[in-house]
Amino acid sequence: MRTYYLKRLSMGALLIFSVSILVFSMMHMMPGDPIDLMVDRRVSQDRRDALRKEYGLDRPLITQYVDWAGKILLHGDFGIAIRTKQPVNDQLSRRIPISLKLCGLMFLFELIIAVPLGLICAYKKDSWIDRIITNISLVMTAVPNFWLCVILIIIFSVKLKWLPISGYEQARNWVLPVASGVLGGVSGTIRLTRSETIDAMRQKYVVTAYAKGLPHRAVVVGHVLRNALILITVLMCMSIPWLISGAVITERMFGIPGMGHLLINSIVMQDYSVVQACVLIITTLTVAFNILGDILIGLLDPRIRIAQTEGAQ
Amino acid sequence: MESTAREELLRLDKLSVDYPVRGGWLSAVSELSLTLFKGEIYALVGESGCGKSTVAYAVTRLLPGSERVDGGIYFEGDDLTKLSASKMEKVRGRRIGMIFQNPLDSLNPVYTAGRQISEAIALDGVSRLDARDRAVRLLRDVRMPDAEKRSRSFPHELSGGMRQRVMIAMMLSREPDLLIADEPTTALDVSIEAQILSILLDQKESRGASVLLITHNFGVVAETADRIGVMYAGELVEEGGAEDVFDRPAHPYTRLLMRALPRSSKKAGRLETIEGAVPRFTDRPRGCRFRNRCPGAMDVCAVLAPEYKTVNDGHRYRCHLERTGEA
Repeated sequence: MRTYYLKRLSMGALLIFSVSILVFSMMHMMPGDPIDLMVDRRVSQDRRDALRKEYGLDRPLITQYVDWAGKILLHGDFGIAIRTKQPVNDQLSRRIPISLKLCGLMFLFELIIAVPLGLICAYKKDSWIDRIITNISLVMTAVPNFWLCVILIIIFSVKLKWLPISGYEQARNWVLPVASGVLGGVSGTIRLTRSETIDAMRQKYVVTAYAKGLPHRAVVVGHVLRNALILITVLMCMSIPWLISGAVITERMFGIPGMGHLLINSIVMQDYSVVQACVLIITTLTVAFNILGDILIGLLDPRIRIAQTEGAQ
Repeated sequence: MESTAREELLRLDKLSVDYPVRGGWLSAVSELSLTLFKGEIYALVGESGCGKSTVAYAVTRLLPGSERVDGGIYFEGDDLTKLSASKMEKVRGRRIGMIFQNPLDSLNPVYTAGRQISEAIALDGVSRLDARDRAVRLLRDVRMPDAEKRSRSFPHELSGGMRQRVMIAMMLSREPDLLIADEPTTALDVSIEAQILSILLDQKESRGASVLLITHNFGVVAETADRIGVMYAGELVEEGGAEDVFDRPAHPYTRLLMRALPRSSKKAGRLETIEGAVPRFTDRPRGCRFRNRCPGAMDVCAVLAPEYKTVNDGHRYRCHLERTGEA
């Protein structure tokens, strides 16, 4: 078991390392000189060289990388933004809590809406309520998120004037962004919950549970849900990185100054140290939640636990 | 003779089960009547698809829910078909235990063997801790090697025979008066089969439990059953004491089945087979259901369903042919 997780962790670290190299070299291979971005064209070549030296851009790429990565690893310092000339960390620390709030709310609402609806569909399989929910969720899957954002804004902000178009100070500001994320995200979870529960209900051990005299409720909770929730929990956990990357667009559409907003602005402005920081953080989160999913499935399903132990030997 | 003196435990009265299929109803069990007495092992025998498992699921009311059930299932005075769902919950496990065919699929993969057994015991108000101890004792009773340790194993860590022992321990745990064993030894090797059967026999002898043993294996029947019911295409075609049915089979189907048994005493040669498969009926047909495979089929078999004929007390068969004693 321990060997398995160690292996899994080192694989994750390796992945983050590779992405960091990719991100780092990609930004350096992009056309355009960062110095051009910092100063006016009329600034003399001497001043440019001085700046280049000051930011360490004259050194070989490998040295620059080691310096950059070392600072992140040792001090959590992502360097100075080329454009704004502010520490990247300052920008991130202002924006990450906002993104966390958005993603957290989306995840929470997705969970409390999708799982019960999926269970209702499974237990009322083929009834009218099941058909309505599954068909709506199918339509929602096909709707692109940015389009949904626009539609929500047009209906609720422009036409009905119920909710603000953008902003993040008040609770009412959060309704539309969270709703757009949840509407896009729930359909997958509803259908997963439905199919997993139906699958669990068909298992023979459920018949056994009834046969030994367990009351209906105990069978549903202890046997059907206990097994159905294995995959639901794990896939929900692994979907969090998707949620975060989806939030990039939501933040942009609703003018929420989160990390996604920062990322898009920085790409447009070629503020590459910020882009590097954002991409690296998202990568790390993705890897972390995948490993967490692996650990969770091992805890929830003893069959996987065995497979993991044997796989590590 | 002895059957009249015995006390009735379970009586099926013209039990019919139909499953919905495209364009009608598939008749899985048709007007099946039989009586099971206290303290006996009754073997219900037949080919795959003859409806014998459906009988087991109908008695415990564990059928999928889309089926149509007619007739009565009387168990210790209650008509099980008319009990409320919550009353039926109290019958299952406590008064009727059911041992299933495939013990890997039939055990929950996420719980340990001990937990699954103690879960049943705890239903009778026993504390979790006592239930755990009793689960281990039960595992020992069903001759589980290393019972203490195995009670902490998950189903996938156990062999097929061990899993069946867990299943049996689970279903014996609440000491039901009736055990229904649906092909309990299928997919197990012969030595384990013998052990499993001796556990069932022991239940009968030590505490007078009755067993409805559902099997397609005549070898299993010969070793354990007091009485035998032979099913064909949803109907009971012959019923009688184990020796009567074995030694003096009356129905042509039973005779063919007996001839198809591998016997060590006979000279080596090809095993006899019965041509064709059990037909499926989407309506209740007139006439005899066996006639298309019957060597002695007559014109009357196509139009008139045969009545039961009695050979001797308790031995009856359902055929137009008179028994000649010649197979």
